[in-house]
Amino acid sequence: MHVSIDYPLPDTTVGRVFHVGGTYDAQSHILRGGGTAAAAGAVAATATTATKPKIIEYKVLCKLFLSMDGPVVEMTDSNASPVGPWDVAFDVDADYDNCKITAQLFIDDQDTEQTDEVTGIKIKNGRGGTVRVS
Amino acid sequence: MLPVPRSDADESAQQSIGSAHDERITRTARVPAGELSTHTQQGDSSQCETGISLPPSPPGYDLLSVLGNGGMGDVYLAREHATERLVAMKFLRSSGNRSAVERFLVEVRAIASLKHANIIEVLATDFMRVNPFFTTEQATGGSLEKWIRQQGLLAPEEAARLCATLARAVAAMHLKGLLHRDLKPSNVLLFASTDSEHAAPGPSLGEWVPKISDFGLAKRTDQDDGVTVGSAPIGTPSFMPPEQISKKNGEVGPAADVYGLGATLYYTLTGHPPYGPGAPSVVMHEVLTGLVPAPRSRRPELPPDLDGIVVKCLEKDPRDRYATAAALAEDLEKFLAGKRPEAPRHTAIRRGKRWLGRHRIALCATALFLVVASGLVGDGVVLRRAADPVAEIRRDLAQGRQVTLVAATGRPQYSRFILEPNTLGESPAADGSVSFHSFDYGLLELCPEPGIERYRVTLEIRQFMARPLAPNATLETDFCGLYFGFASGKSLAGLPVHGMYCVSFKEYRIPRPAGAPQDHAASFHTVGLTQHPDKTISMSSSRLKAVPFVPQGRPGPWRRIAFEVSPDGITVYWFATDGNPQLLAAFDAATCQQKFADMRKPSRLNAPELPEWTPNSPFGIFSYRSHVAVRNVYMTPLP
Repeated sequence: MHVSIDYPLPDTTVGRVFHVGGTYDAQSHILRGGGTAAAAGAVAATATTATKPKIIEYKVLCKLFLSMDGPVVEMTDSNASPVGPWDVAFDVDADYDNCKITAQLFIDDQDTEQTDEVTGIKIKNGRGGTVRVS
Repeated sequence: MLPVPRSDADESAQQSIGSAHDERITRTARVPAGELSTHTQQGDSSQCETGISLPPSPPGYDLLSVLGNGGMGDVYLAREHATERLVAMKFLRSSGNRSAVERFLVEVRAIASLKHANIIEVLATDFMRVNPFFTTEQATGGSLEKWIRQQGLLAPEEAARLCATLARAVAAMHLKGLLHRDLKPSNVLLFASTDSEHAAPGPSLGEWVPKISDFGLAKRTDQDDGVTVGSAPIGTPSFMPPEQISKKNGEVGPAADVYGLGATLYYTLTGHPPYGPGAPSVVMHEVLTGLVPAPRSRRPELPPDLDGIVVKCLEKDPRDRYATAAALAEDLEKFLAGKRPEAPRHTAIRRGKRWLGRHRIALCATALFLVVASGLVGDGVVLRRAADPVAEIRRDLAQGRQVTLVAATGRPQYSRFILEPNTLGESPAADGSVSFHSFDYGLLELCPEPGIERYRVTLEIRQFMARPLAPNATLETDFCGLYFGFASGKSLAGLPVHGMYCVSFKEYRIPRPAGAPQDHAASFHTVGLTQHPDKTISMSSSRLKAVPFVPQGRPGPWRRIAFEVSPDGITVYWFATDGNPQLLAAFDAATCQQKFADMRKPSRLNAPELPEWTPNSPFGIFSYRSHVAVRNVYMTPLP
């Protein structure tokens, strides 16, 4: 089980409109029948019983810290698959140095404590390429 | 209680091996009496999980089901007609073998001669028939090993109390002139206490009475049964002391049972035997030559005093252990009373040096004997291992010499799996390199604390494959790489946490999702792993630096990585496909400390007790749901 921020990379410059994304994988949680209601529901959904399968929501909460002590902008990407890509777009109104981005994986609104973060992101007007690796 | 680490491979290390006169003991998985499944308790005798058909019931009994197969005999659940009680009935398997009958008699006489609340009791015997048998009480609580597997690890005080009780029973056994020689968690059975006869005991171990069972290897101290002379050693490799493997390591005496008690205590605290998993010959090699990982290295919150008691029990030289089981019981009782025990707190280097000094020659000879005897010469890997690889690595580094941790082919000089029990095999490329597959987070330690603080490591690592992809898969989430600066602590919630620096990468098989960068990167992170009670591991990472590189599909090419660490900081290089190094990261000492300290914060691992970053910390490779190979790993001291 993990979540990762694949783009942008640390210490890169992005435009004021840019995407943040990566991958997440919650399958091991299901396979192990881990201790959450979400996991229990997932097991039930795969069983050949008349029980109505429970739809599980996998959500990545992405936070953009505008400079290390600056304001925080939050975006979420919700999916029904236990493994997949995630992607959110930010649109900010000014240039910022030294931003931090964090991602946090939730299963049915329960925090899985899977996190990833990148630092050293610079936001500069006119820089195109929302996901460029500089 | 804490969960027991997953160890599917542990079973092979607990296989019993037998003497020449009892071939069926050899590599037969021993299932203890008391391993009673629910359906057999209900009297469903038509199903036997082991697939062994039931023999005719002896007069006065109904055989109900198979409980297990011991080294010398088969154990059945039976109902005694006269009393209608359930009993465990053990039949001798090789009844035509005179020495087997004599051994069987030794076992039943050993049990019958002992009257102790914590030793199993013989109820009836019949040696007048073709297939002799005896019956004992039936353990409704199953074995201690099963208890730990199902209920989780014991609290330190609970484990100490249990082991003190068992040590008192073993001391009584020794006073009667008997050695058990096969003490392990599966030979400790749990019985409902008298007080709880009318109500099922609860999940607390204190509500059960532990009793020592399976005296199949018992021996009178005033007789020599030639157990280790002219025949293979007998016992359970991961729980048996060095002297039981070879007499070159000392006489088998009461200290052997002290070792078994210590190994049992180790298991109740960590969920692992002291050595293994692995094939019996490999585990025996480890018992003879390896340093046992201190319990606190597997469970950092354990009290240092209890850690010291366990390590003292597991000393390789019998003279360094407690002289008697009673002395062990007294030290455990001191610990329980909050007093300082006699056992010194564990320091691996001091212990290793002392023992190596005494046994270097005997150790090498025995290790060589074992390698030859077990037919492992073929792959030519074990012979290259040093008698104590860790000591040799540290000595060479201290003397300024470069150390080859993994050569171009063959096994590492030293290795240990962390978090996910696993085995090393040959790389799928059949080029002689070693590889392993992880199902979740697999960490393979290649060097524990190196003992020096300025060094460079270069290595080559290759990602082969991950789990099979579905036909319409759109992405893959596996990755692999190296880690260093490994440190363990615990979170505020009391969960074990591990912090480290990592260089990670992956080789894609399928196109990246639309909108994602088509070039991925080799990244440098701090990574924190938290072990949860439900056995899941959560990862909290901070991607600090990254460089682009060209994925090569699967299997990927050998990727070369180098890093240098010192009290001045960290420098990491990624070698591009053209062989030129790219600087991945360069941190000064303050940045190293700050990045590592960030993991202690509530927003990350929430682990205020995670130690500070230090260059003198373990290094290895890791894999997340991948198959990776490693070779050409060199550690070079820097001035």
